[in-house]
Amino acid sequence: MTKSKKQILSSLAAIVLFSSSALPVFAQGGADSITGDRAAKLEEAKAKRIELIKSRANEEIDRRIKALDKLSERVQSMKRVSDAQKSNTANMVTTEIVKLESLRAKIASDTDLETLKIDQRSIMESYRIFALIMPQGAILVAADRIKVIADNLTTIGGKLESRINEAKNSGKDVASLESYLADYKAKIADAISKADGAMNGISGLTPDNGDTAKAAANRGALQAARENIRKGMADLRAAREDARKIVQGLKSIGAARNASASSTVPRD
Amino acid sequence: MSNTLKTIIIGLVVIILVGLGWKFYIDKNYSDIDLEEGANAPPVVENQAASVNSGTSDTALDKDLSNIDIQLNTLSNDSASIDQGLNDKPVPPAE
Repeated sequence: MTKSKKQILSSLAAIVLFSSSALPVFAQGGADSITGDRAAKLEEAKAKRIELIKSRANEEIDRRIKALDKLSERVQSMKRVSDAQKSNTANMVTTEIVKLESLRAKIASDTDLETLKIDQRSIMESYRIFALIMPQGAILVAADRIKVIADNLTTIGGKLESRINEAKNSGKDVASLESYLADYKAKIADAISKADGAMNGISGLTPDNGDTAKAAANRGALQAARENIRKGMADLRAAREDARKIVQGLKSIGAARNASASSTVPRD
Repeated sequence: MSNTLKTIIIGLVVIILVGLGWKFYIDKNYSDIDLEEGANAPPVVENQAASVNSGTSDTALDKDLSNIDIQLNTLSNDSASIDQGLNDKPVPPAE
């Protein structure tokens, strides 16, 4: 054996001897305190983790309940959807809020980390319901608004038609205005049709409960309804533009009217 | 290098690795976890439509159409809420 190898071996032997002599001293002399400290630290870390999980669970529950509350308010103020649709959506929202509040109470009382983790996972699992209700409710609200606006535009259309007829009877050329009015009415009718399509497409959807095929079907129905809303909005904007052209046309042909016997027609 | 020396060195390396592994395990399972904010909830949008409440004068029609503009803007907010509902993601659970 060379000198250098002897030196290495001597050093390692010294380390081993030190460890074998020193560690038992720690182990025996401070075993209880070290074990106790470690256990205390683990317990402290565990408690901290439980608080963290509870905090995050509460955040997620708060976020959903807040969103559901807002949706509930909007659902209550819908005017043009059927009572059944309105009631169905309101019930789904209420049921989900009750479940979340119940889960919040359960989580608050959890003291075991594993139980807490299971409860936390159940929040994620309930997300499927939330992920359906929110867009479903928002689509209903938007479809309802499209129909309300369409009603108002129809009322305005009556006024425009009256003004066009008056101008026509006084010998004005209103051909272009009549063309705009026809398009105006068609756009309103199409917007109503799109709103109805959106409502009908999503009113029967139910949570997928983990069924991937159903989840995909729900997603497809929501996307199709969303597209109907988009088209309905475009129709209303086009009708609004037609109305602008008609009013402008009436002014340009000298059929302006600065005052009229007006009556208040309250609309929703 | 003799076999004895190799064995001792390997033994020490194993001890060090086990120690590091234990420390990693403790850190991973009992350390703080960064909180992340999840997706935003859809904003509140009042479902209160404006009114059509005037006569057939130019001024009345202008007012009616202004009200329609307000309603269309509100509809745009409703539409944005749909997208938020469709794109919402849950806050990931603490691991």
